[in-house]
Amino acid sequence: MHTETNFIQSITQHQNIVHKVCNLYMNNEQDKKDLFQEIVLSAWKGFANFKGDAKFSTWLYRVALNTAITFFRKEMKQLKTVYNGYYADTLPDMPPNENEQLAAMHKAIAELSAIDKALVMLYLEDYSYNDIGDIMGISSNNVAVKMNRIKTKLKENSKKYL
Amino acid sequence: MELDEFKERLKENAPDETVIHTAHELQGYIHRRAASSIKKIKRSILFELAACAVFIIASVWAWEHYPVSYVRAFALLSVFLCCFLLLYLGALYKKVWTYEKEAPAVREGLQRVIGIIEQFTRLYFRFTMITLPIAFIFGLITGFLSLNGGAAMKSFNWQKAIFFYTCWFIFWSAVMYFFSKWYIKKLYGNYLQQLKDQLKDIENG
Repeated sequence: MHTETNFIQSITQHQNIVHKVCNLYMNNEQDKKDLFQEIVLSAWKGFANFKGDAKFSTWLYRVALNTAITFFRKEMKQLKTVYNGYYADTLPDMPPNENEQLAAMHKAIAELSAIDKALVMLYLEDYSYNDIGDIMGISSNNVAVKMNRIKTKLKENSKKYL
Repeated sequence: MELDEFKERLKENAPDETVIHTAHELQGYIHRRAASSIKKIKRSILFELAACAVFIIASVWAWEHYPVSYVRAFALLSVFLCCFLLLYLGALYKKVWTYEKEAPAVREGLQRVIGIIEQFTRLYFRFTMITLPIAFIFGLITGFLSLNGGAAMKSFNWQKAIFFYTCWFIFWSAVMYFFSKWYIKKLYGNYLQQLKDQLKDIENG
């Protein structure tokens, strides 16, 4: 059942998830490409153990976040990220004022730690606190506490860019 | 702007699901060589397992071809050490293999990667330090036997030679100690610290 064809089909359909994770954690195109390939490879290695009791997208988020957070790069200084739009594609079509606010929020998200970025990403993807807790390995109460803290931080930090 | 407002705006302007990589490209990615640290460790473990097997064969060969007591003693010691390494590396390899096959939660994933790297670097350091006195004693015995019975024995200053050799051993032990520490830190130090910081971040409410 878990053949290469099945996997390629599933990953082709859900590759946007991998792109979002790469955009969230990497700044330059080469790093994004490297991480993308690494996530696809990690997913393939674990695909035989994917039993289908969770949605493929949820499973892929787990694999992608695990790979991105533990991804080894020689130039560790780059982890202090600069602006990298999470959904940067949406920006050009927005009215100028709205655009600035969105860009400011993107920049504020880029300043977060790797773990906080993962939480924000899953929150923006409409996952419940329970699901986020499952993916991250923490309780839903802990997710709620962290999300409150992150929301306050983002509100403050995004003001810097306006 | 609040995060929830941002979320709503994104939903309203969500980009279309674009297919950037074709199925053919994705197929190419799953057959390439992995670049992550855990996969590099896996390759190192496989190399060391092969090296252990070769060393065991060489030791057995030495046992057969050199029926001298000290050679046999060292061959036996080498086999014992290599067997221990084989078991330890085998268990570590299994851990890496299991990690690759499963998709643990992020927190557990971090704990496992940290555990694997710590276990691997500890083994590397301890093995380097254990082999030093073995090489020292082997060198001492070989040196003694090469002089034994020769004319040079009569004028040989044992006290001076042992003092010199001991100083040489202490010096190299110190060099290897600091070099191993530095090398491990260079390879994994910053990365390991970063992983530990992330684990701390996820564990602290």
